Amino acid sequence: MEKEKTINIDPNTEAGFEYLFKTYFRELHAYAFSLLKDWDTGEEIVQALFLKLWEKNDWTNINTSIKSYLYKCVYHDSLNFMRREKIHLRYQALTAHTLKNETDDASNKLKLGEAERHLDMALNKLPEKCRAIFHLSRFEHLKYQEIANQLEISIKTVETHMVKALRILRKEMQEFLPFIVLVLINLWKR
Amino acid sequence: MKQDEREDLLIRYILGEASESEAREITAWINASEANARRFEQTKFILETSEQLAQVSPLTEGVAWDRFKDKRVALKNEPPVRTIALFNNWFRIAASVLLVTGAAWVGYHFYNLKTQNPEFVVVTTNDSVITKTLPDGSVVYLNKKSSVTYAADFKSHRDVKLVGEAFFDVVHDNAAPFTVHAGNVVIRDIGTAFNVSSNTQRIEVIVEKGIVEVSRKSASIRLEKQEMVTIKPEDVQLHKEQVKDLLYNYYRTNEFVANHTPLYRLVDMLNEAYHANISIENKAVANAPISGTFPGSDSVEGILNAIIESTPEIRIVKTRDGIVLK
Repeated sequence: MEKEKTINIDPNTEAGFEYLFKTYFRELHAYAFSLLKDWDTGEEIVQALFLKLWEKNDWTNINTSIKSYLYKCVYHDSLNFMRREKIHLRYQALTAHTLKNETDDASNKLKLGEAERHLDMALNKLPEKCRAIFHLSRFEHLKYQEIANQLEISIKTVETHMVKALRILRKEMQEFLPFIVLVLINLWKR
Repeated sequence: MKQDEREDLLIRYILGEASESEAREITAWINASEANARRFEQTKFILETSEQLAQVSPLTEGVAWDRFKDKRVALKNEPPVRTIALFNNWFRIAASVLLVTGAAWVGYHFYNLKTQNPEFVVVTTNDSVITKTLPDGSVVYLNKKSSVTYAADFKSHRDVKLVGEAFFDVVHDNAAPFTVHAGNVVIRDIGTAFNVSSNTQRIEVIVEKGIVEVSRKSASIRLEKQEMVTIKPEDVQLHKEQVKDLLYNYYRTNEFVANHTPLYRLVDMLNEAYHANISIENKAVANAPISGTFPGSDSVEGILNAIIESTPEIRIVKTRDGIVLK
């Protein structure tokens, strides 16, 4: 990945492993949260992944960059977890989680306006694969090609999911969009 | 532009992934009507606003690392069996899913090889003997732990690669010679039935009917009915012999046919067929001639008992490592 800095560390050493862990833990945690909508489960998954890697202590078989390998693992582990728990696509449960999380980080959310808060809720309604792709595109700023490589799907599929995501979000945001657009168009026409 | 194409392009444009010509196309489209412009603004709003909604982990790296170290210590002290027991059912399910998908893949692979992608067909046996009819009507009896590979457009290139052991009953065709490749040995039939057995130490060809040409590098030999050749890696010349027994047929006929066959040969065959470890303690016993037809049985002991019945001077002694004949 072009954005990734070349890290001259050896993950087989304790110091190297700690560096790797500290560099990627928080963003992987956020990625897992995007998929699972639960910080605690997300932490468990990322911690378990690092434990597994530390136990195995073998990085030679990873032929992509370590970062995209980690993202791929978090994605699969999260999806497997959801399948196991059968919580995928249960929007009600997700919404319940979000509400809980919203009260949890109330201070964080206060900064957001009404429309943003609504969009945040709408994001939770995306199917899991859509959510993963949307996260990688919008929060990690990966190109379609990079997302395709990471999830081992075609570029066309990435695009299809983005279109699907947009369609769902637009539908969810309907009541907010006309107002926003009026403001923006006026700004733009000036 | 169609609805879907426009949506694709719009998103790609906002994400900065559109090509120059696509960008021109989409800007023209945006400027074409106010509805289009609104569509653009809405999409842009959603994509750009969501960007600011990126969730940030509530944990610091330090805290997470400390927790990781705790877990690591706990993992070390925990007997590993417990972890496995916890996930036992999941492993089982995962394993069965793997098996099923594996089988499906193999099936799909074969299907693919035969239809869309006609290259090679591979038939592999593990713990059973199978009979496979090739596309030209020739029949292969494939012994355990063996495999044959052949081109899917078999009729014009009747080349078969063999690993392990197989008996070939070949439909003769002057226009398309039938050739078996085993290691670096080439066996070319001239309308026949023959057995090829190969392992790392030797390759053995036995002809049951017809004529076969066996060659390796520049050496070549013609075998007729009831003739055989055994080729070792170091052999330069190939020497044919008379077929002494019909034991080689055991996996096809499921019986061991001995006709004044020395016991050691029978024992070799049993060891191979049953992955047994039978040894013979003295030379006189090893060369004792055995005659008779012994039907294959579920256990090697069953056959041994049948053999011993006709030769009462031999004793069977079971040891920790296997069976010793005295």
